[in-house]
Order: sequence, then structure tokens, then C-alpha cells
Amino acid sequence: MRELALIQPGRTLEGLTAREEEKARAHREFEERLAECGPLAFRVAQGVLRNAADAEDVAQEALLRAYRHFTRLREPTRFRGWLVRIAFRLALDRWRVAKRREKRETEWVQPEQRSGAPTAEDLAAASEFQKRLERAMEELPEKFRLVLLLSAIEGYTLEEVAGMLGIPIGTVKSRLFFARKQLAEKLR
Amino acid sequence: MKCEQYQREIGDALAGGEAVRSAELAAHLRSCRSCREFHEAQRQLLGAIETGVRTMVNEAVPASLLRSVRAQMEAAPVGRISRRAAWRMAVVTVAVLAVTFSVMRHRREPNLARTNPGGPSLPGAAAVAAGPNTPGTGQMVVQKKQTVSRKAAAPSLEPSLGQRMEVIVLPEEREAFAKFVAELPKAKKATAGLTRPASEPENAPVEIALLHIQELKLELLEPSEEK
Repeated sequence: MRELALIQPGRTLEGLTAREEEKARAHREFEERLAECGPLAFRVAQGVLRNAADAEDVAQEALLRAYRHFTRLREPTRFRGWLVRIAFRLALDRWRVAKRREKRETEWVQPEQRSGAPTAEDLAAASEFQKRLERAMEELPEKFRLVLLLSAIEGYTLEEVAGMLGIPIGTVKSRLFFARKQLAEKLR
Repeated sequence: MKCEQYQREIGDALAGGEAVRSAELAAHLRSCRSCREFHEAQRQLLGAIETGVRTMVNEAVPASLLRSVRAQMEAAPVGRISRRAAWRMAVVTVAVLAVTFSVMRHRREPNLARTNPGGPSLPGAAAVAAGPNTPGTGQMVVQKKQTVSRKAAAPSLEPSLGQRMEVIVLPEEREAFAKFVAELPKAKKATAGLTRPASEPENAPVEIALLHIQELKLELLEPSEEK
């Protein structure tokens, strides 16, 4: 069996080997970032979706997307911010789809079937305040919400959040201020 | 200043993560019970928001996350085209080649009558054949060295491009195929192929790319007995 490979004229198999080496190097570099950035992607997704299983799916997808396009990233220092944005966007998309589905189902399901009896676990996990907070957060503008989530993740300072998003620290602080203020007004 | 204004100032200070710093406000707080209560309520509310958001985002990361990402990374290494995409591109490439062949054949029909029946030999061009059971198989390498540009008859050329991504050119069709390749530089964009023995495992990468060809040469890497 012979294999057909399409290559650019003038290129040799040595050229292909060099490309393989480059890929291997990119693989190693990505692997080095994975341990730190994997949890970050999960936490951003968790902040939006508030469901560990969904957040894991989204984080996984975000990491794989980042991996597939890793060689196109011109500035490796921007990797975290890039990944955070991918994870945030994917999580928002999934959240919107879930909301639409939930709305459709609520419209069609009979009132007595709408809500099952909450389990003891549900009651323990979601306090009334937490539910209100989640709803209030959903209404925040995306840029405020992302800053609020990132600044709440353990181990990240505001300077790091600013670096991650490529915005000045003053902008981070002001977004955080408006996010808190809006939440406080809604939850008062 | 009214209590309402003081309370707005309190709200702003706490939302900004700062303590009340204004001396005037501090003095008012000492004297106004209502604003003191507001300050305390607001401080607790913002504290609860902070705690709520932290709880939301600092949940334990599932151990399976990195494991499954690593497993999928192995399955689809960085920058590699997925098998599905590779097949899609292969189908498009084959379609482009088929159209090019048919157009070229159609254009050359009038030239057939004027050409030497024995068929001219093409300097620098070699036979191309690939396939497990084809005698005298050779490898075709496209290199940027020399252009084969002699006009020749184009005998019936029906390349067999099977689903296993092979280029099979019969000995009697080699000349025509070489001529086709010689024509490629005239096209602004075209595709060309390299056949080589599949020494790698079955799941070895298949690189496919659209090409911009400038000059081409055919070389026989493995001498053919039929030459």
C-alpha cells in the first residue's frame, strides 16, 4: 500500500520532518501550560454554567481548540487570556442554548410536571441568595462578568487578570466596581 | 449633604473595595444611625456577593479533565488536519485533478493527428507508477528544478484514484501523466502528489495542501525494469 501525500513542490521529506519536530515542540509547550490553564478554563466555564459536568465539557473543548490552533498563537504570553476568552465564549454559548431549551420545555410541560421535588442535595447546595446572585450575574454585561469571575478565582491578582485580558489595571478595577455595584443594587 | 448622598458614597466606596476614607463621611457615620446600618448592610451584602462568586468559580477541578484532554491531544496532535477534514480535502483534490485532466484532454484532441505515433520521449521525465501489484513501480517526486515542456500526444489517460489515496499510472500512460505534470506550471494553482511506501503505521499523518506550482520535474527514484 502506498500513501499519497500532497506536498509543496521543492519540499522534501526532510522538510516534513522539520515540521513534525515543530509540532512536537508545540505539543511540549502546550503540555507545560496545560496543568495551570486547564483548571482556569474549567473555573471560568463553571462561573458561567454553574454545573461541573457542563463546565468540564466546555473546558475540555476550549483546551482542545486552543491546542489545535496553538501554533498560530504569535505571542505565547497571551495564551492564558486567549484560553479564558475561548472558554468564556463557549460557556456563554452553551448557557444560552440551555436557557432556550429550558424555556421551550417550560412552555410545553404541564404545570404539575414542571418542577420535580427538590432533593436534599439541591436544597443544601443552592441557597436562595446564591440563586438570586446567579440570576443577577446572568444579567451583567459580559465584560463585567468575565472580570468578576477571573478576579474571584483563587490565586489570580488583579494585575494578572489585567495581563490575561490585555487591558489596563484601571479598566479591570472599574469593571469590577460596576459589576459589584450592579449586583448590590439587584440584590439589595 | 443628605443621607441619600452619603449612602451613595458608602456604596461606591465598598464596591470599589475601599474602606470609607472621607473624614466628612466618617463623621456622619458616627452621628447617623441609619447610615451606619446602611453601611453595615452594604458591607455584608458585598461580602456575600464576593463569597458567592468565589464559591461558584473555585469548585474542585475534576481529575478527569486533564486526563481526557491529554488523551484527545494524542489522538489529534497540534496542527494536524483531522481525518475527516483530510478526506474532505482529498475528495476535493481528486475532483480538481479529474476536471483538469478532462479539460486538458479535450484541448489536446486536435493535436493527436499531428504527433509521432511512437510518442516522443520526454527528457527528464520518468514513469510514475504506484501500487502494490504494479510491476516496475516507481516513485514520483515533484521537485523545483526543471520544467518538462515538450508537446506530445496525450493517449487515453484514466488515472485510477481509489479510496485508499493511491496514484496508479499504467506504464503506457506514464508519458501522458508526465505531460500532464509538465503542464501544471502553466496553471496558476494546481495540486500535485508524492507517492511513497507507507512505512509508517496505518495511522501515520497524511499531509494535504493546496499548492502553488512554479516548476516541476519528475524523477524516477526506483529504477523500473520496464523502462
